[in-house]
Amino acid sequence: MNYLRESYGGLGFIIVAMVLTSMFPEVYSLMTASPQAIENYSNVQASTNVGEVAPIVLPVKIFKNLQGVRIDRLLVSSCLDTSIISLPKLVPRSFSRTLLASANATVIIPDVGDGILTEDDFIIISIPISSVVGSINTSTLFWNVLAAKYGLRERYIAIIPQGVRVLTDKGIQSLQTDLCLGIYYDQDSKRQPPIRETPYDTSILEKIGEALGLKTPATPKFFSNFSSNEAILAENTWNKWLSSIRGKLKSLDLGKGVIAKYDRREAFIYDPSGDRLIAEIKEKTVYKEKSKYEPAYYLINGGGGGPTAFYQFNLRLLNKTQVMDSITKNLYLGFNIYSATIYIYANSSSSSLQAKLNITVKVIDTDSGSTTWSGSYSYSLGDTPTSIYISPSIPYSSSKRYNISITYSYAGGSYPYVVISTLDLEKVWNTMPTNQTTTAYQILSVGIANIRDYNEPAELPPYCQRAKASDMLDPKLYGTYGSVASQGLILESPATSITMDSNTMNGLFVDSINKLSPVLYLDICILNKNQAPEKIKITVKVDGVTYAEQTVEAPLRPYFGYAGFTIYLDTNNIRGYGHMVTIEHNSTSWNMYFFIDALIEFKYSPEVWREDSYFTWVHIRIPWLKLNLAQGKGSGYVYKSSIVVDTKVFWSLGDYYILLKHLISSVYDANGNAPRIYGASVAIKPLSEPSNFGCNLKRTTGTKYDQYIGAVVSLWGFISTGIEVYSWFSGLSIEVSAGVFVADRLVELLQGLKESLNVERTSDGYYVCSWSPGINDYKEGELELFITYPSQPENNTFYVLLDDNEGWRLRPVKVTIPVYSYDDVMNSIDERFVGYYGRVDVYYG
Amino acid sequence: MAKRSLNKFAGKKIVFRILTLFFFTLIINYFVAFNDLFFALRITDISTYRVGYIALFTGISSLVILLGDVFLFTLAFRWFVLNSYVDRSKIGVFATSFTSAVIPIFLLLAPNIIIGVGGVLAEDLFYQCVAFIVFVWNAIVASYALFIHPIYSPFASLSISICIESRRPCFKCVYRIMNRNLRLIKSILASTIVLWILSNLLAPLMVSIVSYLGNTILTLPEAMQYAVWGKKVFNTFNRLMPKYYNLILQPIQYLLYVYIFKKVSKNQLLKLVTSL
Repeated sequence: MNYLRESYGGLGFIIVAMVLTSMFPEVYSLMTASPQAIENYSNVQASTNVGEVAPIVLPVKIFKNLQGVRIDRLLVSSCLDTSIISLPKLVPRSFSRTLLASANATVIIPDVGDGILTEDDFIIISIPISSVVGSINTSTLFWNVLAAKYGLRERYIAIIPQGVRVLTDKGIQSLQTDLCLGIYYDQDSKRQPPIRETPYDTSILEKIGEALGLKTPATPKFFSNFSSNEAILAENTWNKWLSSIRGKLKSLDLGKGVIAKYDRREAFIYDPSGDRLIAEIKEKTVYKEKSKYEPAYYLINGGGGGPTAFYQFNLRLLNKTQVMDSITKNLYLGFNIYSATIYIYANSSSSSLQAKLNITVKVIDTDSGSTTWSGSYSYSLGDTPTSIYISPSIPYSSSKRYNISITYSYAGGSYPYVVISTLDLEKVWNTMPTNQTTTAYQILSVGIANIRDYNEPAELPPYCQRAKASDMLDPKLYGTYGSVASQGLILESPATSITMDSNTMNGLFVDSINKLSPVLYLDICILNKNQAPEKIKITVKVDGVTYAEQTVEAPLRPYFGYAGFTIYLDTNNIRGYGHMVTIEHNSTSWNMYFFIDALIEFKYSPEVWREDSYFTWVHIRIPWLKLNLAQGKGSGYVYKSSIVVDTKVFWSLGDYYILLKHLISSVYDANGNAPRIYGASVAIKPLSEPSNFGCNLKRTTGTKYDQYIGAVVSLWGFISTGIEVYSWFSGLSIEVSAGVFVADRLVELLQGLKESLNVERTSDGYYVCSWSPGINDYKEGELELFITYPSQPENNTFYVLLDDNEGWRLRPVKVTIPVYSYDDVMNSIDERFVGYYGRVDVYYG
Repeated sequence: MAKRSLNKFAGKKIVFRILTLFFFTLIINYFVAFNDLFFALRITDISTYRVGYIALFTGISSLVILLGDVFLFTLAFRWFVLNSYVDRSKIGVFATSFTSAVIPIFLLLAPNIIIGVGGVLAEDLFYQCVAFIVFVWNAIVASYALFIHPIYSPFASLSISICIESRRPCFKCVYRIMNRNLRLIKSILASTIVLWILSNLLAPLMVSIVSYLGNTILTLPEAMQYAVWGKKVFNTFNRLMPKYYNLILQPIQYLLYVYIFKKVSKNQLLKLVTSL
């Protein structure tokens, strides 16, 4: 516990600064901001040795004004360094069972309820603690710039003086250093931190439980049946364990000795070109005067002042990487950057030895090549993965472009293991710099397709007939509930909760202006097979936090109840995953069936980092459609399917072509089994006839069994020739004798069981590439269909069809591919800069 | 033994025997068609599909077709060559002779059925075995069906129909008869070739006159066609399944066969019949 023994130092400065600033009530820090904040940005920031990241448990009761605020609206910052931030976690209120669709299993997950903090709650703040005694910079007492930029006007400065007992993952420790944290938030729900992640962390909770002497239950968390006794028993066991933790936390009187100072500002004056705060305003009356200082400054206040037109992107930097030496990622960021956050989720690769990880971040002006900001951080990592957040300072500019360089280095001990690292980027545009954005879809469930052709359509509420996800399917695949073709998610009571996890895609952006991306559409049709109608409350949670609720009537069959939700998902998950969507209901009766349609629609910009260069558009990969569907009865078979429109098009010398990639992969269940792939096809109908077309099977994973054919190929060839000779006269497969009939059937069957790949043009103008794995046990396959033109086609609109396995086929979806002239493209090549451009890899999720 | 004649059949008896032949053909073809339908439904639906069904399907359907063929040939020889019948007292002898004659067919198809059952009950364990059966063993089965069965089936059937005359069931009778009459193989081969040629002319003629006869006797569910896997299974099974012309052509083939055989092997057959 080095960080606890060594002195933090400088606490006196903090307290003095607080006293001084409180003497100027209307303008808190007007033009007297920290020397660092008004420094010329060409100065390089000094290194910071931030030390070990420790989760510290604090009771909400000591922060009275936090009560009533939702957990995902908090942002924590170090007083030492404004670039070091954190997202607090909540000690869950319970554990509950949910059907995790992608795993086809019942899982016991933490539940934070509505996520609104009460005095009985405990938050866990993982913040790096400095192990080096240094001079404290009084500027850290000023409002965190990132918090101010997003209008978080309230905060608690939590000072934990030396000697105070705190609970960490190592147990109760007497703090031997001073610790200072800023907890930022805003009562206005429109004001929120730009970054978001799941509000609980089970591995940290388990560590804290062990530190309290409460052994983590050995009971498993995965079950095949929601209502099984084992699952119910396990839920009780986990809840008992959680109650014991909460009970112990209460009895420890954890807040004792912690100084919590509440502050509120009415507004901030922010200089975007310097990424600094000019003033913190305490009284509304001085708004206008202070905003006159500089027209280019932003007045960020409670009335919606300040920039709100954010486009947020999330890019994966590292994925499951052991840092054995040094890894550097250079990225081109471009114009109009409002904020950026680097996220690293890492631990030590050894359970006994700590790992030291150094992170160096540089922001580089691409015009001058100079480093405008840099930070060096050193972390000690234990065996539990820890979240690290760094928010570098990048000046906002519509004319200057920036690169960022991030270096991950091994600095001693065991090797650090980076589970994932992402970059979260917010840009401010009144409109996107290009209108060539594409709508992309992620279908999570098409449960309502099962009842589309219900006996009497009139008995289905209109919304059940027009559910958004099922509308994307070919109507021929609609099936009556219980038929072979039933598909999608159907939640049957007494199961009360189902969870779907979406995937992320590169280039997906959150559009805060139009609130059109990403949007979750949920349609739920309820069939009540009981004797009495019932009112049911349906709750929708996103990443564990309640987003919406509805109470609906479930009439008696044959009539259906309906609940529909349209939810704007206001941030990306910084962990590089999609969102986790949970649907819960409160019906306690049996025989209640919830047919669920879930679709996430979002805008995708193929090149977010390079706004005005056509060059980067000519080799783009648009993850245009993703499906994550249960097929077969209930949710017995889960597949993921993605389609990528890869337009290397409209570019290469004289050749214009479009490549459609279709990936299908099955999902491994809790036992490590995955269903096999039964076939896939992708088809395109271009409005301009291509000159050529073709189809490839790019890769497969799984076991190939039809290799046996190689051993007997001569024999089969001999038999096939024999059959052909027999049927030569007629051209029919004729039973000229029973023996020939049997041989003919075996040859036919063999053809059907061999892996095959075909491409054809159908009479209705579709170019179809279809793949059948036959008897082979494949878990993944990727198809490529291309069409080429000798010159730029007149029309760049296409209809795309997707077909997988047995369960689903899309109705034709219209796609328009961006088109640029050759000259446009060539002229913009010079606009490129050193750094990382675009996405080389497409993540399928 | 009653006096026999190769050429004198009583009219009604002939009609009854021909209709019976058609009836048994109908039964066998519908059995095969229902078998096809059952397995097509199992194999098409990914929630019921097991790789073992493929081996099981090939085993059962091939067994029924090949055994049915031997059975129908036996009836044809018995009724139209030997001009005799099978009364109740002969059923035991017939069953013994028939069983002994089809033992090679059983042995050939037993691995499909055994491994198929394994592939249904313990798919992961038997997957490799099923793949081996489907691609390697079935090549042997198909070779037998294509090149040996067209000769073995009429030869064995003729022997069975002769063995029925035995007083007691005799397991070796069929093989003893076959061994004794090896000289008939030339006639059987010649008859087979002539029949192949005639069938290849007759079937397209039938289908061109009445196109409906080219349809399958049972219709596979249309739903199978809608998606990749189902469509492929649908097309495969649609080609496999017995067609209407089979119901007509197949009994005609047996009648034609015995007719051709009698013409081709008249002297040898007379010797055989008179020796009984």
